[in-house]
Amino acid sequence: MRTPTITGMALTSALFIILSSGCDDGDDAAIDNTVAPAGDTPKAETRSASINFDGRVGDDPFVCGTTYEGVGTGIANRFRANDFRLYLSDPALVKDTGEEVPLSLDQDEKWQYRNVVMLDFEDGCDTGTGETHRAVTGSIPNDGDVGFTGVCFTLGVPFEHNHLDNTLQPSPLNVSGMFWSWQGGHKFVRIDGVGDPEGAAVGYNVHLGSTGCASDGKTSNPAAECRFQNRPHVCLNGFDASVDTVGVYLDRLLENSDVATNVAGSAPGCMSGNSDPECIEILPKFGLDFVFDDGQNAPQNYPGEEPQRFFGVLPR
Amino acid sequence: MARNASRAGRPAHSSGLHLVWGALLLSMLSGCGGGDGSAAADDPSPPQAATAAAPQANPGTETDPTQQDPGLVPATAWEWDLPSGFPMPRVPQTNPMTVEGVELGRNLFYDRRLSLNSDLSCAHCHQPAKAFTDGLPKAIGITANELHARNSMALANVAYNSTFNWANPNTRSLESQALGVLFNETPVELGWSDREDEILARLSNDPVYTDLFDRAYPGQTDPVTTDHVIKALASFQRTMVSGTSPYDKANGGDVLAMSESATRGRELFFSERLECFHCHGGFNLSQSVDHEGVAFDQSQFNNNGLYNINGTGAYPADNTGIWEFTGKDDDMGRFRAPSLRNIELTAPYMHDGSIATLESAVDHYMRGGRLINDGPLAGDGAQSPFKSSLISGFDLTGQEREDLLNFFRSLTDWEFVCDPAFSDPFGNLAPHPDCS
Repeated sequence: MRTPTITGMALTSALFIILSSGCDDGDDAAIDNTVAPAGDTPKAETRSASINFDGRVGDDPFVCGTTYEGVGTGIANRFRANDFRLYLSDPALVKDTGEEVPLSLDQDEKWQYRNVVMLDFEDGCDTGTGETHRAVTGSIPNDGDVGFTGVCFTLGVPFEHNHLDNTLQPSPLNVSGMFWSWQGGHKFVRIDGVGDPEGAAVGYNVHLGSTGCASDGKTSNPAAECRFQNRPHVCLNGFDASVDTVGVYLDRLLENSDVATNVAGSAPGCMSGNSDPECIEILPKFGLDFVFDDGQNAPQNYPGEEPQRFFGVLPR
Repeated sequence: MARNASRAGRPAHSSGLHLVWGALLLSMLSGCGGGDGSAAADDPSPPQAATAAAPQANPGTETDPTQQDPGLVPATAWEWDLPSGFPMPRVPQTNPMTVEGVELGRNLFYDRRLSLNSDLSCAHCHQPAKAFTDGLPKAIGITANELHARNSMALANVAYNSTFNWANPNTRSLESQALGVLFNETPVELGWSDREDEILARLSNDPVYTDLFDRAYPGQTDPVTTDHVIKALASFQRTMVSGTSPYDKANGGDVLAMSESATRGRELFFSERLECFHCHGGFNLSQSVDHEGVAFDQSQFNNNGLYNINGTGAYPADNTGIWEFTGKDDDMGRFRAPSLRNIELTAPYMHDGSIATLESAVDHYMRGGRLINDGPLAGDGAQSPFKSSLISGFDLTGQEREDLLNFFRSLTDWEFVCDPAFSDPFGNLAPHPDCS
């Protein structure tokens, strides 16, 4: 069923679009926006650019519903992965000089909205949707044969989009399975799985999102940025967008965890909570400092790993 | 038999804000060449019905069609009056919402003549006093000795379901759901199979109905069709929107609408300690939703550890969830997480009504699955290999458990339950006693 262009958007967002870009749906701005300078060869103002991603478990591609061996440190180290989705924002290619050139994202009314994109490596084997999305697509200024040697992006949904009524936002911000609550906003990363599936069958999930968000309750939006934003900015060097792919490694998040055990009374796996013991080994893998606070003892700081472990350039 | 068939449907009592909203949306749609939404009110005539525009095919028509056409009163487009934060329902283009269609649907929904033996209406299993459920563990159709395998589902906010029934990935619209209820044979529900002409004739022979059908589907020589019956039933049910519970009012800023206990319960419900909201989150307290603006199929089915027969993960043979459709091991016992709205009034719970009270339902999730010690269904659901990875159990203090229960009670929307627009026009089914 086709989706009407604007119906269902948050009123504020809809107004913003009218003000900022009229009713242009954005798609046609990507490649062929040619303006010919007088007396010169016509040259497009922009050119298309994309960044490929792929979900990985070690050397293997992520396949929804597959059980993988050797995940984590436990004796029972089999892990069945059932969901693998994430949001990125502000993707950019990086010049030799270090200058970041942001992509203007194709507005496809599905996976990409403004500067935010949802990547989706699962195909509906359990909690997710049937379709997948493994590339960020957009355009960059066409300023000659500039070589790019890196890529940068931010993991997560920007604050201004994160905590609004998600059902009134445009896709992909209205995907119900990626929404936490109005207070917490969106899940920036959703990995669902089961440790030791044929044995103890322990639910073990990694949900990354902002925490410490001050509002009147779980169903109210925070007025100001959350205490722990949990939006790591990631840059990878040695990346040629024309041939390389960014690997997104769920096994690396879990490499110091026992996926077949979960501390009773805490979320199954790590759901970013500052009192969740499983997050001590997982959150720093994103390159994020993690403050563990059980409410009884002095808070403990676990510094983020440098560099982060979640993303890496796939071997060619 | 008291009836009030002349009621003009649900008046669109839009607040000023909603009017502004509607106007803006309309202007945006038209300004942008608007996609498919603008087609909604264009052509309500289904292709198979004869229309006044083709008089030669109907030589017996009494009225001269050239006289009839100018006097034709088109059906009135429905105006949505949605609660704050609710998205626009997705309405099939083949069944645009009209005031007249909704009114027809309400009459059909409550009319016992819609069953073969004239005993039961749709509302028999979906009674207003029980938030449109029947209070039974499993539904019973017109063949009274034949139990349905599953529990009658509540109807609040069905306009937003991504799929219908407890575990049918193929029932994608209210129209197809209604068709099933009319024609199902195992078990029989309303008994239309092979007898539709007889049942439709009851309606054609009642001038009240010919008038209702004529106004809902104007200009057609014989508007009393199965297709129009299911479309009208679907239209009526789409209007059954519940979003004015104390929980909603508290979210809207009236913090006193919920008790302190219920508010604490809300925080527990949306916590990573309990994980309830992963399946029952969002505006409809169900993640398995669809509406305008959604670009994906968001249907979702989960195994919540009710059964684990002999440790194999199996469910009772007549209730295997979507495994019945897919045959995939992992799909055993996976059912749709329904909306929790008005849950206080919709006992008993679960797809087979096997949990009698709200308290027992909370205890089920606290344990992370159900232990059945004896009998043919014995097994520990908490240990099911197919259980959702999000259901791992939790501990609650006595006060916390009461808080959670009070949160569930705060989802009871009395304005919805008592709304006269959803009441029985024949007066057979009384509203909830607290409605008076």
